[in-house]
Amino acid sequence: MNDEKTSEIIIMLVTGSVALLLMAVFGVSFILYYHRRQRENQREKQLLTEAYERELLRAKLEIQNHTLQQLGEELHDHIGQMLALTKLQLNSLSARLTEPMHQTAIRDTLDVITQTIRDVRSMTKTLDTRTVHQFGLQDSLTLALERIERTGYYKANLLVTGAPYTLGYETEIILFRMVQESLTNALKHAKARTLTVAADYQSDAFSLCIQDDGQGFVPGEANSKPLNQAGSGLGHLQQRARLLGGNCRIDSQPGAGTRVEISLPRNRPAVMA
Amino acid sequence: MFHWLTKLSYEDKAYVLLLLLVSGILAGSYRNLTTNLKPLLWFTLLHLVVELLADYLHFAFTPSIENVFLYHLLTPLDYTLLGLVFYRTFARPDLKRAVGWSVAGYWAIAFFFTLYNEPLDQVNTLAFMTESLFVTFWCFTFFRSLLTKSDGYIPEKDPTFWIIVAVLFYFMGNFFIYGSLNFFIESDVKLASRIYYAGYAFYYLLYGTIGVTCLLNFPVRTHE
Repeated sequence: MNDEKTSEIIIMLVTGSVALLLMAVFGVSFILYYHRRQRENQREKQLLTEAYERELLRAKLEIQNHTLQQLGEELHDHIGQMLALTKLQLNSLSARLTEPMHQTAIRDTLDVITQTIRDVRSMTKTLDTRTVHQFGLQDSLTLALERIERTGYYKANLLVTGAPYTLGYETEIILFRMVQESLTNALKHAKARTLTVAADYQSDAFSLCIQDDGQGFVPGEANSKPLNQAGSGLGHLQQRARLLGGNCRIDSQPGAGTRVEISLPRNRPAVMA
Repeated sequence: MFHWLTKLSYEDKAYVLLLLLVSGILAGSYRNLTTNLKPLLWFTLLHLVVELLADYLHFAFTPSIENVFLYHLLTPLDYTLLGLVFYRTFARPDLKRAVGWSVAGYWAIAFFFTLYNEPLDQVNTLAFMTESLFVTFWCFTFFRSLLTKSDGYIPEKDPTFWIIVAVLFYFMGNFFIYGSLNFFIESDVKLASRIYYAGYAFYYLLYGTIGVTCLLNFPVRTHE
């Protein structure tokens, strides 16, 4: 092989090596860029999904609050008035009927109506978001628990630890609705006798624990129920906690009651912004 | 009968052997190839046949017969087969249509160049450079289309990706080599010869990549 040929082969080898190197660099760079872009797309998609879910939940909460408020107003304005009118009529009847047997019956009925009016007023307050706005979370919870206790079937306690502070009107409304939902679950499904709500105000975090001594359930089974039998309450609780920037843990086992724990960091971005 | 084969340069011998080997690999794995890569067998065979024919015309006769006209036919056929690869690789109908039209357009351009600029007894540099530009464009279109994929596609596990990278480098490299060859032939024949042989590196890279990717057991990845 002459020198000319050798140098041609060397040039070819050098060109080949450089081209191979460039090809490899191009291929690897593209792959790295592609994967980075995929990750970014994934993150963006996730953020969009989260924003959409937040928006959806916010709309749901607004509708729920609006509906409950309307229901409360309706109870107060219509049922409350009707009951007050019935009470007036019974009082006027009591003046006309003098027989002791009738008097006793009228007095008993008046007692029931008075109790019902009180319950309707109390229910109206727990349904009305303005109550939470006006009196704060702690008083609203006290009111809700008192109402349950007045039925005479349940024992309800509110335990507060730490120095209470305000969490913001919207956060408190959502928390209050979450407690209401947990209490409703306990009354409806758990056959509980004692209900305890514990609010813990720490300097950097707030937690709310709703506990019952009912029959409990297996969390996995509740999630795997068919659509027509499954409730959406537990999922909603967790969604709402996420909306608040916190988390919701549900612990339960058959025969050992249920414990719903909602924890929120104190410094969070605005909820309904 | 095959005495002329011994007259081939080392580079040409290696090139012909590589083409034979890759044709064998492609034929052997033809059934396992995804539809978009199947035309590569015909692409490799076309190059093998043209290369052997060109060498035969050049070395088997005294004086040698001019073989440049073969490349005037090779380039449009070459682009047609690559166009078929891209046509089957792209999923978007508008891109498929564009590839189809570009093949028809390229035949017209190549014919025009042969008729008016580079007759059959001259090297078809312009036609090859135009083909390089077209192919480079489709390669980048392919890479761009990958960036919009969202179905868990993994480029490093796709033979098409590596083959298109090799096609891109083959055409980009040869674009400059062919583009500068005519100039250097006039100014410095020795340098022109070196540049010409440097171009073989791109042939080896392309067919080496095709052979290796077809031999490796990549998970099936369709582009249809």
